[in-house]
Order: sequence, then structure tokens, then C-alpha cells
Amino acid sequence: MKSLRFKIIVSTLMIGLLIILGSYLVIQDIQKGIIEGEFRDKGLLIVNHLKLELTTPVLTNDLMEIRDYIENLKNSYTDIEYIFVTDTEGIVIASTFENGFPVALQNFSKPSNVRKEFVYNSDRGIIHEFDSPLSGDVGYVHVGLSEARVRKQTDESSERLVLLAISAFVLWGVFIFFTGRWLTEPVLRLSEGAKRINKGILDQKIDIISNDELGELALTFNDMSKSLDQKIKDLVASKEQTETAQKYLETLFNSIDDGIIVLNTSHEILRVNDSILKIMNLAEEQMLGRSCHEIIFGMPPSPHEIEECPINGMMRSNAPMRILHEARVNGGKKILEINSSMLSDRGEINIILVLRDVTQQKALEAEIIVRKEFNDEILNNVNLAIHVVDKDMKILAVNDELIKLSRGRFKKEEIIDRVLYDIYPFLKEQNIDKEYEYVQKTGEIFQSEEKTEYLGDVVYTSTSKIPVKDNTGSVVRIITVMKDVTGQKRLEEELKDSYEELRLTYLKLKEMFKVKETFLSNMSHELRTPLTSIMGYTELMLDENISPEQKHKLEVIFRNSQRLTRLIQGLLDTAVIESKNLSLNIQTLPLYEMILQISDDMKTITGIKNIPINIDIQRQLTVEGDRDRLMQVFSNILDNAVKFTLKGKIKISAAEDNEWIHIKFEDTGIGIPQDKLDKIFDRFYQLDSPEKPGRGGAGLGLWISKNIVEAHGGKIWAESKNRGSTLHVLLLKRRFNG
Amino acid sequence: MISMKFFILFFIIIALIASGCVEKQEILNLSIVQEPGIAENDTSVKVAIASVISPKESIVYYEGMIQYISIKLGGPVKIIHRRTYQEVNDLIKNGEIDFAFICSGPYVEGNKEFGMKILAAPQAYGINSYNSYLIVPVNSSYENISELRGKRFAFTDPLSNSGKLYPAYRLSLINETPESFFGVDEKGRNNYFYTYSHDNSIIAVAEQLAEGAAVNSQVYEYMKNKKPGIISKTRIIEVSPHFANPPVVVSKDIDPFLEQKLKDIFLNMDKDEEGKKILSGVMIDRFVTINDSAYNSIREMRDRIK
Repeated sequence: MKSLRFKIIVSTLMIGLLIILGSYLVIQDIQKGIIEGEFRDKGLLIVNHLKLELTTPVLTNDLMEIRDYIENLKNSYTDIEYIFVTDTEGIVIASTFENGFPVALQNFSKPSNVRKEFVYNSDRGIIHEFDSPLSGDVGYVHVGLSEARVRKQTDESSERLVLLAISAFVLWGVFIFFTGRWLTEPVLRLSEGAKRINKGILDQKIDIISNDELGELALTFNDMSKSLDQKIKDLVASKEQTETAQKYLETLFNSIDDGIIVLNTSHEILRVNDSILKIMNLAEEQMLGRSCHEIIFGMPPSPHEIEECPINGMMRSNAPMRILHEARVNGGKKILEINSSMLSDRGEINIILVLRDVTQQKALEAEIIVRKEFNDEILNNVNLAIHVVDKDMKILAVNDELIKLSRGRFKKEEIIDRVLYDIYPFLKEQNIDKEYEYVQKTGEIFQSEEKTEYLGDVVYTSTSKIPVKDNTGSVVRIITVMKDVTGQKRLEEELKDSYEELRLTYLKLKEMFKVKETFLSNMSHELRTPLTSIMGYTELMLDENISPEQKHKLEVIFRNSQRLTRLIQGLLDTAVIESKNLSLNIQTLPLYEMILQISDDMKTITGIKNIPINIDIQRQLTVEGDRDRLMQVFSNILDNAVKFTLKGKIKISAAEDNEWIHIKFEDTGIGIPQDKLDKIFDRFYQLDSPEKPGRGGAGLGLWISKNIVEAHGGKIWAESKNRGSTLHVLLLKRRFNG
Repeated sequence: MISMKFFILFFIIIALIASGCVEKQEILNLSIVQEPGIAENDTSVKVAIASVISPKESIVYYEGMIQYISIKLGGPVKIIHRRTYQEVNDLIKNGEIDFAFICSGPYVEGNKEFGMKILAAPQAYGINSYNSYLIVPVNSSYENISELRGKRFAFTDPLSNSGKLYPAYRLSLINETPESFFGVDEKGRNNYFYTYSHDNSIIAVAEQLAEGAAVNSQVYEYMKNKKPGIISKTRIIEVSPHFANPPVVVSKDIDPFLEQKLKDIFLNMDKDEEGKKILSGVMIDRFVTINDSAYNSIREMRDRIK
């Protein structure tokens, strides 16, 4: 990337240099034009003047006057280097040369060589000579003007011009240096950012210092890394949340006193809680996978019996069901109150049975019915709340449990002989009085679950209203037996809520995965397009005639771009795999050739590290699969092997094993700890080497490989001893049926 | 990545632009001045031509003539230009040149002084002589030389026959010298001056820089054809007797072989086409031998003045 800055600076400097040089030359040319113009005017003026003034003295041969005249003229114009006058034959009759007439000018003095104006170089500098015949052609006058003085002036101004040009160039250089930095800084930062992402540092921000395309790219990059970081955090959080919720649910599930059984529509037991195991006195393994009617209803597991299973009635009516069932447990009997309901989850129907052991309650009821009498002993010996009313609903007796159920709001004495509805006015509000009326009228036991709210306190009870009849068969008393099920009921409610929450979390998580996949594929595309350009141009530049140092830098850019491309490809693959859209183009593939190609591709790095790759594969071995995907798998495995091997060798072998081809990649690298053998196939899992932690890569390679191999119906696993590891890949030899 | 080659190319371009593709120019050294005299080790044949001798335009034909002689001689002939007759005479006297085109006056002077010899003399329009014209501005009233007393007068060369000797001789006849006759100007300088060229003397009169001048008749006639505008501004007030044409002369010490060779060339010049062309350029029919006695009239005038 350094070369980009270098190129910008150097090329702009060259442009600056050209402009400055061009300006300098143009100015110099203009100066030269001015000098020549000035000289021409002056020369022609002097020579014309002399033509008029010297004609007479020449005619009259007044040499003294001629000499005086030209001497004076020469002295009054410092530019005049010389003047000489010739006769018509070119014989010099007067000149300003004090030490004799120069040989070099003899030729110029000939009439045939008289020219109006010409320039020549002399030991006294550049001379502009202007000639003219005198009036009447009586002779010729020659005037030489020296550039020396004007040249000195222009040289001085040229020096100043050069100084100005140099200063301008230096200033330009400084300006360009900073401009170059300013232009390339975002690119470098972007590149650094990409490298950091490559190392897995996702939470990072590149300062946006320009509003141009680079700024936009940086903004996109920031958004990408931010979103990527946020998505991954969200994913982790959701996963944790789900796990917590699942654990909580598990605890709740198991802490409910009521037994819970989850069935599928085939009546197969899918899940049970700890309470049912206690109630049924069975181990979990004894229950799971068996049918409910076999375990609970004590029927043999024959298909036609299923028709008679009480669950079918519920399934048909699609309404919750409540039944009492006497189950045999360990030779004894247990009376179970079974509440069942149906649960539909993503189109899959489950049946939940809540089983409550009501054996004791029922025994009491039976005893009351048989004995038609009760006493305190009976009342206080059970952990059920009991009250007894006469036909006028006056309370005759209560037990301690009832006082407890009333949360200590009443004392026994305060209740006795009072009308039930006076003590519990909500009974009428909830139309429970109608139930009592029903019991009195029909003389039948009435069973219900009651929710009573008293002074903000909610109490759930499983209630049986048992009539006590006199000899005539008319009801004289009603014994109400209540079991406090508030705790269970609350747990059940909570379970229901938690389940709902879990379901919502699951849906959210699913949505999030979908968003992440879309994001990943979009982002990968956004990043891959500029990367393709970078790599294309880098390759083009590599072909140019460049210095070894520049070549090295370009190769670094190229390698890193390739790495970034691989990372992005990895992310894309992840998206594809997660969306379960991994499509395979299945064909019969020559294994040896593929492995050879992969190892050839690694030749440079294995050459540098001096790790030979031995291939022990019979040429006729073929596998069925997607060539590109399998090449990706082999490349990933071999890449890892090379990466984690510092010295030694790598061996790739393959053998037929029934319908499989078993491929082994053995290396003499640092090996994999036993507890990490499975984890290396996890997403984003990276094994650090002690020599060089954070070896680069996203930790996706093996995860992708595993998914590809499994999509091929194959298997992949790792094996490692103290040193060196072996990656095993099993692939189908023939017709792939997946 | 910008390659090293690119940099090198870039800097070559910059260097080319910066150099401005400067032409490599010869540097003339103005400090080396003309050597006095003529190089001693120069073995070429040298000829002097006095600038007074003929119309200026014809000088180029003299150069052609010299080239012709050079070819005939089979060796280089170098022309030495001198502004005055005296300078040319000195060259002959000192043996620095081999032959020279001079005026009749300087011949008489040189012959007497150091034995200058005649090689040949030109013949033009079939005659071997010329005159001195005394001329004045056309709109002046002067009719003879005596009216020019105290006026500004243009002589050609101190040794010139037509341009100085004859008018001085004419003044001597009235017992005057140029100094006494023309007098001095307001600055105390002589009122006469030398133009060292018959053309210039004619122009000086035409432009009224001089009130009178004495010039070679051949030059005057030549200019009548070439520059009638100038001649029309002048008027002849006196024509001298005929004088023998200006000769081609050699030193008395000349190598006889070279003298004979040169003589042959001159005398036969009109015999070939090339020579004829050159001769017609200077309005000479041919070169002929001439007797020294032809210049006796000039000797007499000179003796009288001296």
C-alpha cells in the first residue's frame, strides 16, 4: 500500500517538475525575445544614425571626425562593443578598436559580406552586429552590440527564477507529501482494519477523514464490522439466553410436584419430569420411548389398544381433558388425577399430561363416605384442608390445614357455627354456591379446581365436595376436602410462560440468523468487488518492470488481498451452510489428481518451510462429490497441517474401506489437545500455536469442511497424540445418494 | 510502479528541453588583431590593388582577373588591398608584393624612387590614355580653376596624377600651391581634402561638399553611364591633356621568370574567351606593352611642382 502513496507523490512531483521547468523555459524564452527585440531596435537606430552622420566625413575623408564621432558614440552607449567604418572596398578607414582591427572581423568588413543584422559568439560574449551602407554608397558602417551587460541582468533574473522554481518545487513537494498522505491514509486504515478483522478483532472503527468514495468505503467497512460484531454478540447473547431459559425450564419442569409427561401423537413418551418418576416409581429410561397407555393406563402395547386410550378422546375433541385413573405402581394402587392438554409447536403436535397423586384424598373421601362420620383425629391426620357444613351451609368443623390455607386470617373458633358464605363471600361471587346446591340436590361428589382470591392473595385448590347422606338418602352434611396446589399451579403457569418466552427467543434467534446470512452475503459482495479490483491491479502491476523491493511490497498486498478474499469466501460459505442452501455438483472425481493439485498449490510455502508432502494414493481411486467443495475441504485441511507444522513432513494417504474411501492427512505438527479434538470443527474456533498465537484465518475452515463432508454423506474427525495429528475424511466411493 | 527506465527517459527529456537544443557556434576572438605587413613565409604571388584606381563597382572584376591569372600561373595569387597609392608603392618598394595595379602618378613616383617597372598597360576604347577632369557643381558659376580660390576642393590621392598632380600643376602655372590657393577653413585646416577615390570626389562635388575636384576621366565616364543622377549634378570646367594609362607594375627586383610569365598572361588575356569577358568587365579592350616615355608628360608636371 506504501507504493500507492509513493506513486501518487512521485507522479505528482514529476508533473510539478514539468510545469515548473516548462514555466521557467517559457519565461526565459520571453526574456530572450525581449533582449533581442531591444537589441534590434537599438542596433538599427544607431546604425541609421551613423549612416546619416558619417556619409559626409567619409566622403571628405575626415578620418578624425569619423573617429571622434564613433568613439563618442561608443562611450555613450555601454552596449556598443565596437563600431567600424569601411570604404566601398571594405578597407577599414576608422574603428573603435584601439589595438588594431581584429582578424576575425576582416571577413565581415568585405562589402560582399555586409548584412543588415546578424549575431555571433565572440570571446567578449554574444555580439549583435548591425551593418548599413552609408548614403550614396560611399562606404559602410558596422556596429557591434554586446549582450554582456544585458546578459548579466538576465542571468541575475534567471538565477532568481531558478531559486523561485526550486522553492516552488520544494513547496510543491511538501504539499504533495501531505496530499499523498491524506489520500492514502484511508486506504491504509482500511487495509489495517481488514487485517484486524482477519485476526478476529471485529469491534473496530476506522476514522472517516474524507467524504469521497474512500470515505464511503470506510463507512461501509465500519458499518460492516460494527454489524458483524453486534450480530455475533447478539448471537452469543441469544444463545446464552436460550441456554439459561432452557436450564430454567428444566429446573421448573423437574421441581413441579405434579408428574409431567410429554407425548407425541403416536402416544410415545418424549419427555418426563422427576415427579412422574417418583409417582410411577420408574427410571427415566423405563418410560421414554414407550406409550402412555402402556405405562399409565396399564394396557399392552398393541395398535388396536391405542384406539381405546383415553388420550384419543382428547385428541378428537381438541379440548383439555381431566380424568381420574387408578394406576398400578409396584403392585400397589395409586389414584392419579390426569389433566391433559395439547400443544402445537411449529406444526408438530405434542400432548402434555399433568398427573397428580390424589390417592390419599380419595382414600379420605372413601372413608368419609363409608363411615359417614368424622372426628378430629381423622381431620387432623391428613395434609388436606377440610371443612364440614350442614345442609344450611353452617360450618360444623374445620381442621388445622384449613386454617393454614386461610393464611391464618381466621381462628377455628371464629369459623365454627358460622355460615360458609359469610366467612368466604367470594364463593358466591364465583358461583361455587351452585356447586354446593348441586351436591345437595344430586348427592354426588363434585370435583373441581378452584382459584380463590382473597384480599389479593390467590390460592389454587383441588377441591372435592363430598355429600354425607342420612338414612333416607338426603344430604345432611357436605365435607369439603381441599388440597393446596398453589405452588404447583404457579410453577405450571410459569412453565407455560417460560415456554412461551423460549419459543419467542427461538423465533428471534432464527430471524437473527436469517438477517446475519443476508448481511454476510451482502457484505461479502460489497467487500469482494473492491478486493477483486485491488488484486487485478496488483497483478497487472506485478507484470510491469519494477524493482525487487516494489515487487515484494506488491506481493504482500496481493497475499493479504488473497487472505481477505479467503476470509470473505469463508463468511460466504458460512452463510450458505447455515441457510442449508449448500448445493453440490456431484461427479466422479480422481482423488490422486485433486490431492496432487492441492499440494502443488502449497508448494511455495512448503518449500519455504521445508516440509515435504508425501502422497500415497492409488491413481485409480475415485470419490463422488462436488469437485470445488471437496478441493476446498482438502485445501483447508492441508493448509492447517502446513500452518501447524514447523518441521517434519506431511503424509496424505487414501484407502478403500467397503463403500468408503478413507483419506488421512497426517502431520508432524504441534498436535491437538484431546479435549479440543471435537472443538476444532466448531465455528470460529482457533487453535493457537505456542510459537505464534493468532495465526490468522477466521477459524471457519474446518467448520466449513465438516459441513461440506457431511453434506456429501461423509465423516470427518481428528486424532492426535502428543505430537502430530491426523485428519480423517470418509467419503462415499460410488453413487452418492445424498 | 514507475520503473527506473521511465525516470531515465524523463530526465533525458528534461535535459534536452533545458539545454534548449543549443547550436554549437564558433567563437570569434576579437583580441587577435591584424598582423602588420604580410607574412614572410607566404609563398603565394601577391598583387596590390589601390582603391583609388577605378570605379568601385569594377573591383569585383579585378578579383575575377586575379583568379584568372592564378589559374594561368598555376599557383595562388593573393590580393592585397590598400587605401592609398603610397601604401601600395611602399609594398612594391619593400618587395612585399609581386605586381600591382596603380595609377600613372604613383608609377612615375615609384619609378624614380626605387626603379618600379611597367609590366603592361590597359587599352580602352582603342586608346591608351586618359585625362583629368576639373569638375564643379552643376549649378555653380565657376568656369575655370582660378575661380576656385579659397574654395573647398577634393583631391583623390596625394600621388594621383589626374586627382592631384594635374590640378596642382595647373595651380603652379599661376604660381600657386594647393595650400596657398585653397587656403584654410575656420578651424585652421586646409580647405582641400583627399577622398582616396575618384567616385567619392565626384559625389563630394555632386553633394556640394566640395566646390571642385579633379578626377580620372575614365571613372567619370563610367559613372555617367552607371549613376547619371550623380554626374548630372556636376559640370566639367577643364579637361587636361592626355596621359598614358595607369600601368600594371612590378618591382625592379622581380624574378625575371615570373615577370615574363605575368607579362605573357596580361598581353594574351584578350586572346581567350574567359580573359575577354574579364577585360570587358573592367572596360578594358586589352593589355598592351607601353613605353616608359609615355609617362614623361607626367614626369614634367611632377618636376615642376617639386
